[in-house]
Amino acid sequence: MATLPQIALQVKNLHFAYKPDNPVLKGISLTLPEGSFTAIIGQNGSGKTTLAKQLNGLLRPTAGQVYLYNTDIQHCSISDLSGTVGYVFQNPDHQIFSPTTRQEIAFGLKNLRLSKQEVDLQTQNVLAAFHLNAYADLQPATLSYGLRRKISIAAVMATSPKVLILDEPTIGLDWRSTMELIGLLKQYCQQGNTILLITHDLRLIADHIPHCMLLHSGQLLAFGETRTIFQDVEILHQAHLALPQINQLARRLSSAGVRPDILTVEEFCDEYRKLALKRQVL
Amino acid sequence: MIISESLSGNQDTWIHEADPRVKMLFVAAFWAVLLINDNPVILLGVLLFLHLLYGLAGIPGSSILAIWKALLPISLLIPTLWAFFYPGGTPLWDSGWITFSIPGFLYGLMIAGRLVALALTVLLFLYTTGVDEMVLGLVKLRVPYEWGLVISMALHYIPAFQSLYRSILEAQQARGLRVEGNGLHRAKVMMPVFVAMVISILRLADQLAKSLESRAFGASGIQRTFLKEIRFGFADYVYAALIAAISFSLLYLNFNLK
Repeated sequence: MATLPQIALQVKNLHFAYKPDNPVLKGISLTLPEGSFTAIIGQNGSGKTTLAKQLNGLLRPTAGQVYLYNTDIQHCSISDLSGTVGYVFQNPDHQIFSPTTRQEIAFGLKNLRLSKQEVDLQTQNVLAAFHLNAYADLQPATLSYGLRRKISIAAVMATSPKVLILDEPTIGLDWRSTMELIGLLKQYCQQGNTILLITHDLRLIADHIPHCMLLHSGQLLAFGETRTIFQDVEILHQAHLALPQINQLARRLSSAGVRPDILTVEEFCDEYRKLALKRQVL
Repeated sequence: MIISESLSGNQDTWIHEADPRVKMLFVAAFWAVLLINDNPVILLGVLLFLHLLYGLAGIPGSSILAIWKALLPISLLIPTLWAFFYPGGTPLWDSGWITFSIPGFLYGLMIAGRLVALALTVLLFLYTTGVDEMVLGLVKLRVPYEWGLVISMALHYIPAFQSLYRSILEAQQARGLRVEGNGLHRAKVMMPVFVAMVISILRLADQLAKSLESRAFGASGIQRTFLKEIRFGFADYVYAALIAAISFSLLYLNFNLK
């Protein structure tokens, strides 16, 4: 008999306000199973980052609870949670301070009180995985934005958190680096780790992220499979989001027999081949 | 937090509407009075008067409380140190090694009160004067525009740096940094935050300078015009006269009140 995956994160009726008269999150409830890969989408100011910061204790709910592996995190310190929940911030410059990239990556590992051998080995592995060996002994603060972005992600992933939250990690990365990152994240997810990724890139979600949640004005408008949510045009419009262009094209060509639920270029090509074949047969 | 509210304040009281030069005169005159004055009664009167002005400017009590809270540690430290190190006077307690002097404590209290009053005076100016007005005021006082802008930008960026500090602290805590202990240990623990702050501020300053220069800031031979003009009106002359009268009266009282 197949066992159900463990629940990594559970949020129950979460409310939050920076100022008492201005609620930012309004009664959010959700459950994330271990090993899930979920995107958080929503327009600017919808509460994406605020919600993410509740999950590692950087912000505390005004009401409601956050459970990490069935433990209420209300009384857990940020540094205690950091061993389980990794958080990559929007701006890499907020975390880079070390004189070398190697030391920057080792910082989180040292905070976890790992032995020197473990720190060195893991640092070396991460440098290789992120193709950062050439920059290992350079000052990270002097590198380009894309590289700093990469280093900030590598430094958090080095600590192997069971839950990884990334706030717009692909900004400033070229296509190749983005694909490398997505590949690493998928691999990390397959190892049983849970990933939450905040992004505005709906094409990236359509191509690679199986689940997503849609926030609008601090409320959870939708949460589920990406394909299902991306079919609900009205709800996306309500959140001021535009569908990926390939899906818009498929919708426009639906009268010509193209499936309107196509999300990726590969799917569109397959559909086109099928249609072309059908016409040849006819 | 204090400064951020001051710079974003958008109330419309007569204090806000007064010409920035009048408010600069107010700061200069009251600083002179406070630094010359050695009479505790006058100091108390100035402190009460400043609180009255805060009330008239519509500054919330919570902000005034925040100023007091920020200045409380130093306000307690000064009288305590004066009490132990004041030469002479009647001691409250004398162990031979350590003396606690009452006149010293009272003198320290006076110094602390003066410090609070000086801070309240400047903060009232910041609470009620927008950055643009401040620059215009300085330019009208023949301060070069570039200097005026630098001063106002320095003030303008204080809340931005506060926010930057919070973000960096959060980022490092999320990587397991434990902010604990005090003194040297805490300073060592906070090093990742301070270094990241310095790097970010230097990068910001560099980008800001390039951004200003790329928009012709500092170009020679340019006759600068201003979108907004300030005018020293009748009310401002009255305020200036009142500030002068109050300041001279306080100084007169200081030298003649026993």
